[in-house]
Amino acid sequence: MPAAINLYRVRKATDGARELFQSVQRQKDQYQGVWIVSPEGKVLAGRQDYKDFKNGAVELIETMDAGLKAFGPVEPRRAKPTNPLPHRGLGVQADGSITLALYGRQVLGGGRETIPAGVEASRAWLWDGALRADGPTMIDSLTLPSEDWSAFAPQKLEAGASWSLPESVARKLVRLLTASSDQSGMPRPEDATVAELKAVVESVEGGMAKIRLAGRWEMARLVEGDPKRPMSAAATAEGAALYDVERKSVRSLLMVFDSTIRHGRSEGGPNRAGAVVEWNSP
Amino acid sequence: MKTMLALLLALSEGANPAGDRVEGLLAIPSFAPLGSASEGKPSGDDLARRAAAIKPSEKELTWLGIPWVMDLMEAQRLARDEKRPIFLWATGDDPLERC
Repeated sequence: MPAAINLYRVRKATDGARELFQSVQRQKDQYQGVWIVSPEGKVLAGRQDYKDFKNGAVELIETMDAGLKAFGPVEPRRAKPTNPLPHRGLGVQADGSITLALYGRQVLGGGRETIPAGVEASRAWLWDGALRADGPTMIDSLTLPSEDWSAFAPQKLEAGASWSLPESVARKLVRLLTASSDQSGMPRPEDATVAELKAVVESVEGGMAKIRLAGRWEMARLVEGDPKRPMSAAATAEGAALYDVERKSVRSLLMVFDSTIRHGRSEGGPNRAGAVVEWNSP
Repeated sequence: MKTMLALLLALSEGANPAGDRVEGLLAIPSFAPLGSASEGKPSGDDLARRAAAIKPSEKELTWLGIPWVMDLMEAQRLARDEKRPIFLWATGDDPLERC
């Protein structure tokens, strides 16, 4: 039975889940990771660390096999694929909020003509060739309340009409600068030293306004508050949105971020990350 | 929790014949060019291309199709009903939304 839980949330549960999870952790002490647990709550196997990341999938299967061996024979489960997050990147909730689908990862390429100012010449090779992934993907979600989402809608429906989105909205996107899913590395809105997002109506045709977005961000933070572990990042982003004139609502949004990240003194120069923000109406 | 995600990706390798097809850019393919490279502005197609280079492929997201249960007590109830163990994945974030 595949279960995916937030350990902070389960610690606050009042329905017995907290006690069950605490029992699981007592039986096999792991901060996080995978446990194979009998329906009665007995831990059969578990894993948090991997001896060899490249062989990690095999190690995880070994853990699952160990759990199944301890449990006994199990019939294959007849389960259909599901979408546990139907609102991620899709549609507006009853309260007017939306949830942006966020993706990020380290990238290479894109052309040296796109190298931002301040990058050391020794790192220029990072921009050689076509834009391409250079690491595992990061997945994230960001829910914007209705007042934030409304800032993406144009006030004037005429070509050339431009506006700046509130800095408070732009700050919420600063987490995209590092493509890190680790809470210790994820920039918070208060870490942003620059957060600007502007929009302009490019055209209004056929009941749709085409909107172009452009923004820039800079941030600085101490990883886990440690003065010896400073990190900083800067990014620009470009985007496009469609606005339905009749429905008075945004129909789609796509933004692409290009970041440079410096850890510590980064004597060798910055690393790179790319990120995507995506949302569509049903 | 990138480790877990990478492992799930590895476990799902080959599970999706759709391969690297990228979906979700519903409005962008029909988006008329917003500008030209010569003007220093990316076209809608260019944005979609750049997004596709960063976004996970559909194959990489196969693990999201697993019928995850996000309520531990519900998972225990189902496990009892179906007489099978629980594969319990716990992280400091919502595992399916941030990893």
